[in-house]
Amino acid sequence: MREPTFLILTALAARPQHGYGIQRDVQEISGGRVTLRAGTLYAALDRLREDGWVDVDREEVVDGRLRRYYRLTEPGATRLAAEVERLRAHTRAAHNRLRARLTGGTA
Amino acid sequence: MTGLETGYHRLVALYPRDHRERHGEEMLGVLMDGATEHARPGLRETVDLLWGAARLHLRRMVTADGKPTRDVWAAVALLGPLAVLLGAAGALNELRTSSPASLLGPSLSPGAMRWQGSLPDLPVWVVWFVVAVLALFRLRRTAAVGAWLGTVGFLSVPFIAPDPSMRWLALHAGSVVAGVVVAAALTWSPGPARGWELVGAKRFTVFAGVVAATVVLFAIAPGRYHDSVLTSIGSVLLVGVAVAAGGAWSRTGYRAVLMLGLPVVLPVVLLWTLRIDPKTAVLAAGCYGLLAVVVLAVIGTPRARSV
Repeated sequence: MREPTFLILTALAARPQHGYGIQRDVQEISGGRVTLRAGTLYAALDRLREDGWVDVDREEVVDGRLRRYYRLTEPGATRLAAEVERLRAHTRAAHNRLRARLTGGTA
Repeated sequence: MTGLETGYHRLVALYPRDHRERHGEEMLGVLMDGATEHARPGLRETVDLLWGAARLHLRRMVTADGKPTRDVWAAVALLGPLAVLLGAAGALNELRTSSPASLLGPSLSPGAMRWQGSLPDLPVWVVWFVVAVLALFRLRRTAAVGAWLGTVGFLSVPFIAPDPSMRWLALHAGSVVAGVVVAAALTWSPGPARGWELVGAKRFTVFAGVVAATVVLFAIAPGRYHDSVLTSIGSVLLVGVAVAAGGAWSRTGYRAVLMLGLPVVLPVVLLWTLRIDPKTAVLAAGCYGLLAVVVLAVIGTPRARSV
């Protein structure tokens, strides 16, 4: 799973959000390291909706502008959970090996 | 409307129609919400929007019904190298009528061998043959590297010949277009392993057999291959059989074979339509332009879907 996909799914994990909300949340989640621009965001949302991982929750008009809220679907949540588990396993392995290195366990 | 908003409007207008209808207003809202003090869209933002539009156009180019396209590309990754090899028939025809000793002899042009004049594309077809074998053994990454090398090779053919001419590129527009499509499929799709799951051994064998029969028919045809009406018609018919045999199992398969069949067949048809041997530029424009139009028209852009 590519990083923008992971971050978008993470941004939608707790609650539905609109496009600009996802952008801001992704920036916050990544500690300001990732800026998700509109072109990237909507190309990703287009694919995520096709895959059935994300769906439209509701629409609102704020200051004359359309805001469409997106939510994480059950298949999307399952896929995100699987990715989190995969990353956790990798992180654990990296952590263990670094610790072994520091204690002189490996050459 | 401010200059900034106008700029965003112009960029969003480049997106596929269905996407604009569904998300255009929403995207403009997001862009304006995130806008700072700029009078015009920034460079990074512009590049990002252009790239996003290109990706969505490409995605829709192979999607007639809005379903995921990865399986189409996976089938293309497996069958594509074979379809590209159809273009090798001319070189094989030339090879059949020339002795190896004469091909390795010196050319009239200083510093060049004779094969560089009569068979400048031979090394490229060897590369594509290797790509087809690698795809058959499901070695996606190696095959992808080979396919990109083969595509660059296609573009280099005019410069291998002692007297560089762009005519080869015009005559082989189908192979070049198919080469780019196959290289992209091998690079970004789930690959030939998934393609094999979808296509199966029996259909792959039928497809490979039809392609091989077409190439052989071209190669043994009397005279130069594109001068023979019979073999051109035979080729189109045989590729039609391949489409039916390879693509009948599902909509995915049909689209995959269609993606590859059209670029390979159309230049042959076009060459016969334009029997008068037009100038290279006209021929190239016809081959590449018509290909693009027909492929886009057949594969289609989906209309807006309700949300």
